[in-house]
Amino acid sequence: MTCLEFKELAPSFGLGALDEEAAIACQDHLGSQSVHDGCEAALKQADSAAALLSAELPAVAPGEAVWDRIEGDLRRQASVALRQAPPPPRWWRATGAVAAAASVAAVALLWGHNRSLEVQTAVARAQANQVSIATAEATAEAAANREQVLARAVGAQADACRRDLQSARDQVAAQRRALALLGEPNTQVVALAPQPGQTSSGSVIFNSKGHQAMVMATALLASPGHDYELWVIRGKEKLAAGLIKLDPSGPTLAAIDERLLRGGVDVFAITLEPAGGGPVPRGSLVLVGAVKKG
Amino acid sequence: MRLLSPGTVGESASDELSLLRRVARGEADCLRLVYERHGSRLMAVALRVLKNRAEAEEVVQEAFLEVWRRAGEYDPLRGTPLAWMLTICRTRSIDRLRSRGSQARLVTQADEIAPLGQSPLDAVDSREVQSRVGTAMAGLPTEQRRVLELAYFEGLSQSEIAERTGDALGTVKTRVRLGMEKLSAVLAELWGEGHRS
Repeated sequence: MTCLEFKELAPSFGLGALDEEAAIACQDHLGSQSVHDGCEAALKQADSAAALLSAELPAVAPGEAVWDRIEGDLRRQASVALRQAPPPPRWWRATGAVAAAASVAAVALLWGHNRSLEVQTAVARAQANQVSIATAEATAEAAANREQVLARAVGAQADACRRDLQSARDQVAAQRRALALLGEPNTQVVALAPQPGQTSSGSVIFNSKGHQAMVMATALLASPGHDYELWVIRGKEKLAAGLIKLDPSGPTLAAIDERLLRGGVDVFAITLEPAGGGPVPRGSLVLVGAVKKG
Repeated sequence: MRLLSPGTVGESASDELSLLRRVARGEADCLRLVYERHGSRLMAVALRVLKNRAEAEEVVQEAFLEVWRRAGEYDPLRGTPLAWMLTICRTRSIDRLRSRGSQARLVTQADEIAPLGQSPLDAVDSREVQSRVGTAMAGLPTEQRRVLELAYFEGLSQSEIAERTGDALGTVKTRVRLGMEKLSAVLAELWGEGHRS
């Protein structure tokens, strides 16, 4: 169809009187090329001329309930749209996992004796993730303000986000502490060897003179009704050093109470104990590593 | 009195355009304003097509929700905002008319029609336009007027009109063309006055 042909049909097209085939041809012509010779103007005139037929009609006020129904539909649509929007804390959780992974990478790099610049970069990444997390929190709070109806749900999500954020902050603080400890003289890394049948692994960063130590364990599998417990062993003395809190997003990293370290340490060990642990080891040995002397 | 295009009675075209753009940005208050200005026009068309007030009101409701969803697609080059909204309403009315499956159910319910719901200023301008269009339509031969109304208010194609009226298809096409030429002349006259004032 040419522009000339279109313009001849435009009045009937604007009126809606063309047969289907001709109407489709007109529609195709309008969309077929970017430059027309007056086609849009012809159609606009036809549309407006056809609209005059309605201008002749006396106006009729819709019933008062019509706007109420429109408004109700708009509210429902807005509510559905908000419910379908992805909740901000979801992607924060992914960010938290990235932060944890960054921390592992940082510690691993240190244990590979390549400590300086890479460590700082890893820490900076972890800090950048914290900023992203804070932004997600603010977004969640802003969303809560926009829709009062959903305020409670969004508020709960924001609370969960804050808890996750605090957990990430704690992890980052622990990483910094571990990195600082690794940088000190007289610090050794005690590898915790997995016992037969165990797939987990771990290490203890131990400074005997400073009486500081941090344990890191990975791939400890959750076992219903059981907890992993850390032991500081000196000669025949086995000191309970606390339960290991499993972190599904990454390795566990925790400081060991310095009071347990003052008398010296021969061995660090982790056992699987009945839930709650106890003052003496009763369960199976999972990881164990001896401190190098001298 | 200042007459603008029939689609912008009592309001400037730029004002209407700006209002529709704000609707496109999700400002529900603006949709309310559009509804207050033009709801009665859309209702008139829906009622003219459907001849049933309850159905017409449902169509007006659907039409304004479509305006809400599609305001961002409105192209000023294709016509005035009111013409665009009237097209939406008319199309939905005709769709519903067709879905009835039978023209036999068409019953005029003129006694249900409510009084005008407009501001005095709108009513003055609207009456002016109505009067001019009414005069122009009255000047059309009955056959021409009939084919225009069958096409516009009942959504019939030229072939369907020919079938309905028993006239030759060529005759129907000629009547459509002549009738539209007459309406275009009225439109040009109204716009010309609008631009001169």
